[in-house]
Amino acid sequence: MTPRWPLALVRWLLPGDVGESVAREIATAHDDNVGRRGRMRAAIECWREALSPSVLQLRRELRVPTHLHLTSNLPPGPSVLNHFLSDIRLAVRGLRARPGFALTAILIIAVGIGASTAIFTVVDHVLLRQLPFDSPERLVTVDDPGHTVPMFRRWHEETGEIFEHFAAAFSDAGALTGSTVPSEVHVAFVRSEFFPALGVAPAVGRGFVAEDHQPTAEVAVISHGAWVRLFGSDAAVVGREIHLNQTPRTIVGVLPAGFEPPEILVGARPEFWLPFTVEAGSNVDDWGSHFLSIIGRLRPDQNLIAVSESLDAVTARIRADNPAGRDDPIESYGFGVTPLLQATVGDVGDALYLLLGAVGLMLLIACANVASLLLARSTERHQEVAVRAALGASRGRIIQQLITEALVLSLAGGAVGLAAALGAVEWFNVAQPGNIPRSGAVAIDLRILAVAFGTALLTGLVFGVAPALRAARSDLNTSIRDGGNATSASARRQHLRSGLVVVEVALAVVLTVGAGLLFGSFVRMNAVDPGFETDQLLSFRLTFGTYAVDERTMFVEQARAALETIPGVESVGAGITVPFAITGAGRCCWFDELVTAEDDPGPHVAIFNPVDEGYFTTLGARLRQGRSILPTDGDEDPVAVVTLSTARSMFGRDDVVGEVLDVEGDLNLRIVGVVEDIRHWGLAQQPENEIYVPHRGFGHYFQHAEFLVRGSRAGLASEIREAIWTVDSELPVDEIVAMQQLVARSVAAPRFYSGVLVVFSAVALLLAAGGVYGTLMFQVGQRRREIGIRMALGARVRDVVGTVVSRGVLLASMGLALGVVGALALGRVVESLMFGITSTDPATFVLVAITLLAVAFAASYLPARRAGRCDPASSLRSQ
Amino acid sequence: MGEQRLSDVEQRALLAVWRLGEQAWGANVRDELAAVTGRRLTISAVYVTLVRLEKRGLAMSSFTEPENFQGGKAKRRFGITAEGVAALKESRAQLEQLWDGLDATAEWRG
Repeated sequence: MTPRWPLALVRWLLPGDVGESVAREIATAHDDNVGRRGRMRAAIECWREALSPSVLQLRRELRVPTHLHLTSNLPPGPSVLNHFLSDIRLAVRGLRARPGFALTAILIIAVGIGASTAIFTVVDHVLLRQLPFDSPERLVTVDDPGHTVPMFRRWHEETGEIFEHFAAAFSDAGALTGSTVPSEVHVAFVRSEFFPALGVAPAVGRGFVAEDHQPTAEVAVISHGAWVRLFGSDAAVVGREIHLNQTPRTIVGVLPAGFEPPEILVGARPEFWLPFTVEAGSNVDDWGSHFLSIIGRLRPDQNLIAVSESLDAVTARIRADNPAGRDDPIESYGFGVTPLLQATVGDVGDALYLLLGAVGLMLLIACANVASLLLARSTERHQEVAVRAALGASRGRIIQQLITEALVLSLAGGAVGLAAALGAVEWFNVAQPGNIPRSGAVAIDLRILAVAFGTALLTGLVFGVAPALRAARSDLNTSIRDGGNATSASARRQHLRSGLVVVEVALAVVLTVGAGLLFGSFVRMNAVDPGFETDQLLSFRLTFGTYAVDERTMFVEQARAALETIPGVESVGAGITVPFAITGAGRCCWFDELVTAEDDPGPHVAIFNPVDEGYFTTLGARLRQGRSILPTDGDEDPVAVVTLSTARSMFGRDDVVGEVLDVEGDLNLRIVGVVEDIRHWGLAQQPENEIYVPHRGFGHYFQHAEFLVRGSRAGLASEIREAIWTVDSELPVDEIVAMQQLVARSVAAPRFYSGVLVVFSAVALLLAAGGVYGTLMFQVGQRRREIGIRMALGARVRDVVGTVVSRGVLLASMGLALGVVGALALGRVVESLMFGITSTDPATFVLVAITLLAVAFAASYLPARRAGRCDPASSLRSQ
Repeated sequence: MGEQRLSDVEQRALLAVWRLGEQAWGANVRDELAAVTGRRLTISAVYVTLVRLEKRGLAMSSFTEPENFQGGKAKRRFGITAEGVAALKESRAQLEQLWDGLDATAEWRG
């Protein structure tokens, strides 16, 4: 997608058709660049175009008149508006007179508002907006995707009074052949009620109907994207043919352009949609094949709790009369339903709300910081305020003026912050950090602008009101007499400032502890041993298309032989799944069976992985006992290699070679080896029972095989493709990825969250340190006379420095104590995002405390040194 | 219309427009110039020169038909006018006159 803001800028600077032409050309160049140089570079190039000085030059060339005229003629007579306008002018003039103060304050506010606007934009887009479907609140999914066909069928038959529509779906890779180069495409398989459930009607032609589930109906619906790409938006596309997995299919419909199907059901943007049909006796029509996602549209009178209960009742009934009498522990618990929106965003919600909370804390710190700056300034401006009061300004007018000044500051800061947020959101769209669902095209719109504006106003009031009230309450007499110097009258103001510093430090501690815990989790997660060697390992997937099950095994053998001939390839392995190909909750391509060991009380659920003889070697998995899978292992005398966790959970010991596993009473597997656990679905995966079996015996029930290639040479990818094509030139080869990249992708989310929090906490620490520094610096300046007298009376430099530093450290310690209490109380919030660490981790707290005190010490030392350098004579003279 | 002088940049831009013919829109002119000068201008910088040439009557522009796909937009296509061709020929003639009698392959000897 072309970045919107640079183009909007160009159009704004160059109104008229020339500007439009330039903007279009930039957009076209961007789209070309995306393909050639990557999204990041293309976006940078786009911004370079928009921000280039030649845009302004072109503007002059086109002689665009300047429309902006600032009116300076105020209507006569005093009015609230008049006061307000003159207050604004006064505030701007006052701020320009003190650029250092103004810039510091604006920058601090900009950081707070910029960060909160950016995060809120993401939260709003991902979590708060409804899904773009008809009555989205009635859409639900059945929990724990990976349902079986028989279960779906029974549910569908028996839940008619709960659901208006009830449909199953899954997606897989498919091979598109025929007129184009063979390419791997993303195919969704859905029941005919899928589109009606979402309330989506095709833009051209029709959706699926019940008859399409007949085995003879070879039909397909295509996405809008595929329609444009393959058929040039031809309106007469209905009735044309495509070859998917070597089967000709007739197109019956095209989906509308803006349709974004829920990713949790069918993955990201499938281009081809086929009716999902299970033929009788098919090997997926089985209680052991978990692969369906289910969507339901509730009838209008249903509510979630009632629905979950009814579904539980139906499930219990299904189980009771399950003819196989099967008691699969995976199917043995109840299934709840979750609103589709909630299921789509998953646990991302926790993390994003955490970031929103963190950014809120940061905004509060920024407020406290600016309030503290304003207090200092009001002390300095004491005399000015007193004189204005003496000249007849009412208290209300003075407060109004001071608050206006605060609002001018906050709005200016808000504007700068908003610009930064635009940049941040643009970056977010291009970089797509953290694998966040629904985050494709996050944008700042009017709604966000309104929120940012409101936040800026509120911020201005929060940090402006207290100093304004303080300043206006001062005693006229004293102020004028003292010439604005610090007296006992300003002592209360100092208390207020110190209080603000304590609050700032406390908030910073909460934030830093949170960041420390998440970062610690991330480090621990990264340190997890995946159980194999990730470097110099490539993986890719092949989709079999129309190969029959027995041909698939043969093909895998031939492909491996071809791959092994490539120079530089050390070894090759294959299986139905490889580690990290799919991570997180959504699992594909596995099947489980019930396994019983001898003298074992109950059956265990175990995941079966058919693999070939090269699998373990190529992975670099560590064999603990016995042997690996051999080429001679097959149907006769079935063998298995189990993981260490499996051995321990089923037998209670490591040495299990020679033991026999009973699989559902109809197969006996002799254990020939034990490997150390291999993490398949992410570094944070809990150990599960995993059994590796020779693929010759178990065949390839699935439409695809995953390959592993270990080799160190650059440029292997293209040779791998060619080697595969020597075996079958029609077969598309999916993206070839390095295992390290897959592992990195699996921890992208914790990396993003902890990274953002670390940045926030660094900023918070910096702001808190600035607060300590500013307060002490100001106090030292105000107390120069006192310090001078003390030094004249014999106080040593060391004592003076010590007094100031200890005051700073005291403030920080109070904040620290408060912050630790807060962090302990809020620790539960981050618990769901933590790994291998508890929310009360002492090391993190100690580290945060040490860091904070060190920072506070450093921030106090500079003002202290200044105090120590006071020359008693001159400081007394100058007063 | 009297004789119009062209700067180096204007000469190059006009020649690029002429060479590109039907394909003469901003990005292509930019690429054509980059191929000769090795410097990649921004699209707006190319437009500065082209708009200036258009105002002097040396170039012209029109919109193409919208492109033939969903969301396709019309493009501003530039062309050279008869005056533009005349100005280019004049510039070339002047240069050639100045080169006349010089040995282009000779080394400078001071």
